[in-house]
Amino acid sequence: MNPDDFDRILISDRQIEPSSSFTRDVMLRVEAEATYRRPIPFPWLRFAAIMLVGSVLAAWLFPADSVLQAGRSMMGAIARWIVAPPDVALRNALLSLLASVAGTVMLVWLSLRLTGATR
Amino acid sequence: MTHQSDCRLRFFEQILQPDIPGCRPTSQGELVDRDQDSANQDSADVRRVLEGELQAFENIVRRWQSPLINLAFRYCRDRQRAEEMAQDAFLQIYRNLHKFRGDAAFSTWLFAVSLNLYRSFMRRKSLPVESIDTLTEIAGGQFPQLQIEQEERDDLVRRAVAGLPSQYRDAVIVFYFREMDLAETAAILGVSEGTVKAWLHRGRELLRKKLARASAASASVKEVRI
Repeated sequence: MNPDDFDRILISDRQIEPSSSFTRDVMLRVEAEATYRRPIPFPWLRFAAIMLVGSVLAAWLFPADSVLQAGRSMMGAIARWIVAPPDVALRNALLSLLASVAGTVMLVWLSLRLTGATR
Repeated sequence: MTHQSDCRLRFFEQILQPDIPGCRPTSQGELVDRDQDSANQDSADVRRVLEGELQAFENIVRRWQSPLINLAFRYCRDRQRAEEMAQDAFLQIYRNLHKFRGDAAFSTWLFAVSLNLYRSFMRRKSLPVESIDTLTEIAGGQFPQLQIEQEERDDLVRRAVAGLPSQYRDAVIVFYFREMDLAETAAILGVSEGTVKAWLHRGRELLRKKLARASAASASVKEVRI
C-alpha cells in the first residue's frame, strides 16, 4: 500500500444509485409543500412600529400629568361603581360580558396552541 | 512484537499519511466539474421554479439526486437512511430556493444546504457511528496477516472517518467527496481554506493516533492470548 492509499480509500467510496422511486417520492413531497397554504404571519414588526409611533403621539398630545390624573379618577370611579353600583343588574351584565370575552380569548388561544399554530 | 501485530501497525502507518494533499485537478465522476451547460440548466430551472413552474424542480432532483444521496451515505453509511436524508435535503432546498442569489455556484449552495441538514440529522438522530476503537476491535480478529479483503479494509477506514469529531469529520468527508477540491470544500463549509487545511490535518492526525493506539492495544491482547 503506497502513501496515497489513504486518499485513494476516501476518494473512491462506494457509489450509491438512487432507487427508482426516489425522484417521484421527492416530487410528491415538494408538491405537497407547494400546495400547503402557510398561515399569514401576524405582522409583528408593523404592529410594534405602530405601537411605538402611537405611544409617542399620545405622550405628545396628552401630557403625563393629565393622563395619570385621568387614569386615577377613572380607576376610582370604576372601583366606586363596582363596590356601590347605581344599578346592580347592569353591573352583573357587564361582568358577565367581560367574563365571556375573557373565556373566548382563552379558548382561541388554547385552540391555537393545540393545533400547533405558533402565532 | 509478533509478526501479526507488526503487520497491523504497518498497515495503519501506510494508510494514514499525516500530510495534507494539495488541490488536485479533478477528472472523474459525475459529482465534479459540472460544465457550463449544466450550470446554465441549474440557473434556468431555479428561475422557472421561482416563477411557479414546479416541474422544473424535477430536473434539479434528477441532476443532483445521486450526489446528495452519496454525500449522505458518507455520513450514515446506510443506503436507506441516506435516501431519507437526501429527500429531506431536496425539500429544504425547495423551501430555500428563493434565498439562492447566485453569488456562488448552485452546486456549492446545494451542498452547503444539504450539509447543514445532514449535520443536524446526525445530531438529532444520534446515529450509531461506531467508534474507532470498536472498529479496530472488530477488525482485530481479521487483520493480523493482512488477509482481510481490500474492500473491507477500505470500508473500515471510511467508517472510522464518520466517527471523528464533527468539524474534522465534515472537512474530511466534503474534501474527499469533492475529489480534494480545497477551494470548494472551504466554500461549502463556509470557512477559509486555511481552516479546512487545519481541520483536515487535525482530523487525519486524530484518526492516525486513535487507530495506532487501538491497534497496539489489540496486538497486546493477542500476545497475552498466545
